[in-house]
Amino acid sequence: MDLMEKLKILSAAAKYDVACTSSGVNRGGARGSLGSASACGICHTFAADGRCVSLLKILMTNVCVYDCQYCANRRSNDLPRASFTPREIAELTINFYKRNYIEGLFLSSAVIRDASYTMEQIYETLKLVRHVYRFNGYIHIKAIPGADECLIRAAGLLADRVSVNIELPSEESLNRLAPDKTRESILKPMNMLKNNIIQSREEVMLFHSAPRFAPAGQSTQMIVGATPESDKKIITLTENLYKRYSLKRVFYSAYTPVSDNPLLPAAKPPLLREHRLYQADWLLRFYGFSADEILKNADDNLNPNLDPKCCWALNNLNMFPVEINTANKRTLLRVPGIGSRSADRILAARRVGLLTFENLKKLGVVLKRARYFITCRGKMYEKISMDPAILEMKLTESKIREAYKQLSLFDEPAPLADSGNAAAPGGIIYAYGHI
Amino acid sequence: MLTAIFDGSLDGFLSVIYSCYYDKRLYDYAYEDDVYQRQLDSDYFYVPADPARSVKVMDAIGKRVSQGAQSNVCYCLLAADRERFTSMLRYIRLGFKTGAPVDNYQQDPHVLKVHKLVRYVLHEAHLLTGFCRFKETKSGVYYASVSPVNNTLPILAEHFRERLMNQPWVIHDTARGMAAAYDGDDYRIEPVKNNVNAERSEDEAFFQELWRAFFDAIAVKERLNKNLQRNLIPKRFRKHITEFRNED
Repeated sequence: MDLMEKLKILSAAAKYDVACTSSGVNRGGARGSLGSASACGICHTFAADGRCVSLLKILMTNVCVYDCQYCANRRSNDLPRASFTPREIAELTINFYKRNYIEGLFLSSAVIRDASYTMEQIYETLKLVRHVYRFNGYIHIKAIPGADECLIRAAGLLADRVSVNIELPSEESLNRLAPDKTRESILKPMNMLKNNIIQSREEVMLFHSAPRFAPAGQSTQMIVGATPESDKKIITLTENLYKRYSLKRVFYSAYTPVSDNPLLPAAKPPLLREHRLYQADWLLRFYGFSADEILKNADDNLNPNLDPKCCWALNNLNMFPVEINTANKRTLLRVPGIGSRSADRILAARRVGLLTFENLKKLGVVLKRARYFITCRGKMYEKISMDPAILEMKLTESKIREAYKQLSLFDEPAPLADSGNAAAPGGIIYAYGHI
Repeated sequence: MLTAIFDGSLDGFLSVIYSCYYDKRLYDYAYEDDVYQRQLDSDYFYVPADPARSVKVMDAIGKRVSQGAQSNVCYCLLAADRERFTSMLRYIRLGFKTGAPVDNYQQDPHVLKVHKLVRYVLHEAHLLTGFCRFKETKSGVYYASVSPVNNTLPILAEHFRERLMNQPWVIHDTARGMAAAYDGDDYRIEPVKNNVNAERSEDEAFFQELWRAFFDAIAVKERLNKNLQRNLIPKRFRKHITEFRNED
């Protein structure tokens, strides 16, 4: 099989992996080796699905001994199979990198023969790329659960980021869909990675030249929408992963149907849900929210019509409005429409003068949302009712609000409500539009 | 209203600031002489660039305002906005009054504008560190062409000097007719003709094909979202990008 054919098969096989970030580590160039790394991460292109491509994302092989139902590369799926040799991967990486197509390599693999053998293949490739081809750019690898710890450790010393996929949000789902995997077998390497990262950090503090183990940290990903877990459960799991395993990122992947197994939904990927989960993830990491604040009950799901911060604000209206000129950063960050950058700008600007709504707009605050929750010099933006139902309607994104159509004379007549106010569902809500 | 006209260089701009204080002419506006149009209600003076004065002023900005203000001036200079010198002038004048906190004065339209332009320049340069595509030529030099809105070439050259340290490369800004050329040791930025002869090497076509194949295979068909793609990689960049062109 020629290289072109292999590349097509093995990059198509890797496309459902979500993480393609190249962030977290700063490394200057070095004489005699190729490449550098930039902590902010650099996107090199965007595929037709709008997802960033920053790394050469490929599988070592898509020949798999496992039969996980949610995965396109499962043993029972009839699919063309291929394997790269380490040298082929190195050649591709170097030549793509020299042309600035990519920021580095993302190497994952299906499990061929057994976990340790697969991990050994990944390690061999990394050794070749780093030591023979002297590649100094970004490398992200997958640790294969069940592989020998020495191998994972050796590979982690050559990579920038290591990740273990947690696959599904709960143990029951895992048992049902991935009979070869257990929760224990996934959490064990995560824990081991965490300990190695902490150990390496401490060693580097003592000896600057100590080897760095996964300097860009570890991440993980899970599939959402394939199994019945609620958003609350997913967010709580995420929070625990950040706290207990000090992960850099948790990625969500909306399940794309790859199987006609009756255990799995055949619907389109739940992209909006994925989006809301990422918004909640940001609230956890950068805005000081806890999972219990974002959603209260175990079965709660995120509201598809409103972003999670707006939802939180509507449920906690007693904490608003916030005075822009005096509130502390923690409070500012909780206002819908104010992000971490605009919060910083507000803090800087109000050292030298009071802020007005006009100023806020120029500083990048999204007044469309923030106006209902803030005061400037004690004044609200406009006279509004603080009724959560009315606010919710006003905050609902206009695209979604269009679903509430204006009543038409030619539609089916809607039954009139008792009170004699307007009629059809939505009609009432629309009538409040300009209060 | 007092307007300063100068040659558009950094030295020229800093000489304008020098002239503000030592010629006792507090200019309200500053323009490059190419773009300036005479106004009826405005007096104007031509300020020649003087490297000795420019060094003094740069020094003073670093000491009496802040290092951040120094770098803001340098980045803002690269922006493509004809009003930028006026905003920079007012920014620095305010800076000499307030000292380092000048960057807090975001209620001031000129401070805001300087910050905005700096962000724009740095953001475009950041995008191009990803979107710039090199082609291997017969002579072994890697050639890339770009046509950014702002003059991002100096920032790109710094980035690629680190990254592609062991290969000679040229980045050609076709919008300005300038190129940064790196010979394996250091780079220079010089004006060049726009019809550059960059014949590609034998392997080049093969790797371009491989890259296009990868690019097509990595997209998830069920998630197709061309609008999002267009927002993230605007069309103006695409004429230089391998995967959006049919041949090179």
